[in-house]
Amino acid sequence: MHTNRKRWGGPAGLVLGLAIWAGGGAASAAEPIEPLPLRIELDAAKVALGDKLFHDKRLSRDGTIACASCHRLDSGGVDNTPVSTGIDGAKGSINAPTVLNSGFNFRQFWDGRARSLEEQAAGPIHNPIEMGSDWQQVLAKLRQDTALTAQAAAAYPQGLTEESIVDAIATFERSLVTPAPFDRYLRGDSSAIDLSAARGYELFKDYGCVACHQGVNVGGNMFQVFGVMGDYFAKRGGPTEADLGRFNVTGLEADKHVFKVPSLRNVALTAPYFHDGSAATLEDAVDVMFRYQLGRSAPAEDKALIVEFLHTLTGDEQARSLVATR
Amino acid sequence: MSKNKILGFAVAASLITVLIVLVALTRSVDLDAHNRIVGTLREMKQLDAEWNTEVLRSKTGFSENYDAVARPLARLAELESQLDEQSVGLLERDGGKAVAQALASYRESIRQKIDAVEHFKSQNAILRNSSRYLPTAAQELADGVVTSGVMADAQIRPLLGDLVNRALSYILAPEQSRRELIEGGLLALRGMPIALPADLAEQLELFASHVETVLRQQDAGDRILGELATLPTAERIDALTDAVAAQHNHSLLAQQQARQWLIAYSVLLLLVLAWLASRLIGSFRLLRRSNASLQKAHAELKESQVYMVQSEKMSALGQMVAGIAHEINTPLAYVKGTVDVMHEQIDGLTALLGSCLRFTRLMRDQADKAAIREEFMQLEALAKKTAQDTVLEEMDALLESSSGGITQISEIVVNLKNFSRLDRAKVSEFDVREGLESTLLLAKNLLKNKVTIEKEFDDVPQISCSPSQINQVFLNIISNAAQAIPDDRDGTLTLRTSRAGDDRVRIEIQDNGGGIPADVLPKIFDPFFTTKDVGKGTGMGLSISYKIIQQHAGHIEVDTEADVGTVFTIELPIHPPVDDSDAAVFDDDDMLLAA
Repeated sequence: MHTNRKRWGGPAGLVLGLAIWAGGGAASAAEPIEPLPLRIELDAAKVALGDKLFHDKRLSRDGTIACASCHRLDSGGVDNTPVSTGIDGAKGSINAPTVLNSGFNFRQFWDGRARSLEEQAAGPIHNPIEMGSDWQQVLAKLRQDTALTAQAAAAYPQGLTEESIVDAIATFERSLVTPAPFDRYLRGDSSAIDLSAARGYELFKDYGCVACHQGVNVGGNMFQVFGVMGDYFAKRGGPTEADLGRFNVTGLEADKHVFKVPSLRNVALTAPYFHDGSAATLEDAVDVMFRYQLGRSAPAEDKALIVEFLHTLTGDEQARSLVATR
Repeated sequence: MSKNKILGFAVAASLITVLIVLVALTRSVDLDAHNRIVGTLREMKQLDAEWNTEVLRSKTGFSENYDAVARPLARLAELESQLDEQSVGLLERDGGKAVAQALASYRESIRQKIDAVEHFKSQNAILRNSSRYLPTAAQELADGVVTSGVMADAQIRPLLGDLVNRALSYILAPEQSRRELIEGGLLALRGMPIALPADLAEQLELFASHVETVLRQQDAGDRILGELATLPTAERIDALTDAVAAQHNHSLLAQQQARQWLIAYSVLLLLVLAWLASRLIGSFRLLRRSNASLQKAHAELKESQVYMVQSEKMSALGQMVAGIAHEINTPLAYVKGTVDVMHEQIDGLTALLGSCLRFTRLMRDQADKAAIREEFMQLEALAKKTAQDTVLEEMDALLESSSGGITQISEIVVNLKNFSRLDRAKVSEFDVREGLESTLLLAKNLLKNKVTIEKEFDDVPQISCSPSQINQVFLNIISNAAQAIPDDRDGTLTLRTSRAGDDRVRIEIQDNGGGIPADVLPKIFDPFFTTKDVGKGTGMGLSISYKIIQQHAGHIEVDTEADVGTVFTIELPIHPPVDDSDAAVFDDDDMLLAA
């Protein structure tokens, strides 16, 4: 998958302002899921700088961890482990969510504590078991890099600062948009996905998955209790602080075990699933959802169709060109 | 700097500071900033209203997803941070506290609203799912029960159908009576005295819990929507707008007041300036008047100075003429005497000549011897007498003596010419010793019988100067010195010349007179200052001398001691610096007079 690095990486891919989807009918207003926009305008210089910083291990205290270490762009923007490993081999407390399409999330982190990508970017840098650093350290290290300093000065009038670093990283992350076959399907190309996936989508709606996983990001625009129709945590056992979810942010009783509904885009690439990484496969995850969220059962073939549908949310390889420079 | 000056600066600085402060106060209200805040608040209110609409659209199922409900959050955050930036200035000013309070209570309400909207989304999703699923679940449960043969279709279906209907109606109209009926139905369902197979029991429990979920979520939804309806975000924005407006009005009022103060202060300053200007004009007039009178006085002075200098010259000339007349008179007298004597001698010579002529005529005419003899005897007697009287020798001596007298007179004339050098270029090489000699000669009359002249002349080089002017200085000082020596004393006038350094010549004129009194000394070079009786001196002599020496780039000093004498020391450069003004110095007497 190393070759895939390229498609996320260089600004060359971002310079092209061409829409990948020229044709297509009007998206049906009645569909709860909306296709990704055809064009996103971002500053190419900031995106390029953010790309560098995203892969820069100097952001961590001991120079071993970059953003990309856990949010691997060649594997769905995650590291495919239940919890990530930070500096000194420290294990994190929560499953790393994907960075892909994160610009469409209304809040960041599982508990939604960051209101923006900018706010989010600072989090892991300071988290003692993630990157374990601080701005003073990071800036001191990065400012020794004259090439990087020059690049930052070209992109930002203030040069390399805390603000410009998080802004560049956030801007880069906004460029990580992955239009998928399903987007083309939504735009009217009925051949974009096969019939079973289309059927899966109908089931996805019928069973009520779409009550939460909706919108342009197929999720990522609301919070929901994990375990609406059953006590997931009692069943799983071994409660952790992270299990409390949004309660950790608001302190409201109603927010206990409430999490941001994750985007299902690229979900086929981002195993294991849930905040605790407890579901190893997509099928397992769908089962858990049926059991604890929908409170109903479904035939195995329906679930399989839904899983097929979910695979059509995996982004096309050539799709990065929808980011236009400004 | 004088105390007054410092005080003046301090007063001016404080006046200007007050002015600057007042001007700053009149500009303190930034209308643009206010308009920006008002714009932000307006947008916030609009966003708030739109958000309410989106929530209702989701509730009523018009919206298929929550993107529209989630979207305002980002804009809201932007507007909030925008407002924070814009209101920084407001919070520091008067009325900032009210604004801060309004802002804080708005923030509190919007935070509650955000939480409420999030809870609404969650509960609404669950409610919709459960309510959607209820008919299906009831159908499946009934099918299962009937198929298993535990219960008859008619036994189970109405019960489940009622529950589903009531639960769905409860969503539309959550009335307490209906809720009680549903709860009763659930009790009846669970309390059925029939043993169900495990999977069916589980299915039943699932159905029941979906019904309960509908009840729970509907109540929660009602509560949340009620909370949303009563959350006073719009009112808080209005209150914030009012607080900002009140503060703005307050600032405007303050600015207006400051403007009035500024006007008053400006008027005051203008008055002060006008007063100062009038004073300045007054002093300027005074200055001009006194300047005019000074100029007039100066012109008069110059005129009288011209007269004085002229009369000084005439006086000096008078003295000189007296001396010169006397000098010339003596030789002239004996020239006249010798000429008179020679005139007397002429008669004898005339008689001798007549006798000679008669004798020679008699001889040529061959007259009688007696006549020749008589005439011869007479001629002989006359010639003898002439020879005896040594008339010719005497005449020769007389002529020689007259010639001497005439030479003496012509010498005096030469000296006179030397003194004035009227026939020479104004600036020329000049030996100060010659000048002193010429001057002594001219002043001989003053010095005669009274003063012994002692000369101690070192060899000095010639200097470039205006000889007539330098001679005038010498004459002035020497005649003053002669006058300073009392009649009852043997006066001595010592003249010295020497080198002063490489490039200067020193002339000292020393008398042993009474000296100059201390009260007079500082004034001796002043114009018109004189100790002589009225009419005897002009008081210009030394003043002119001082001017002349100054213009020659030299200097003149006086050293005096009572009853011992006075010495004037003059130093003159051998080569006076040549420049236009110095060249002009020697130009002519007019310059001197004008100075």
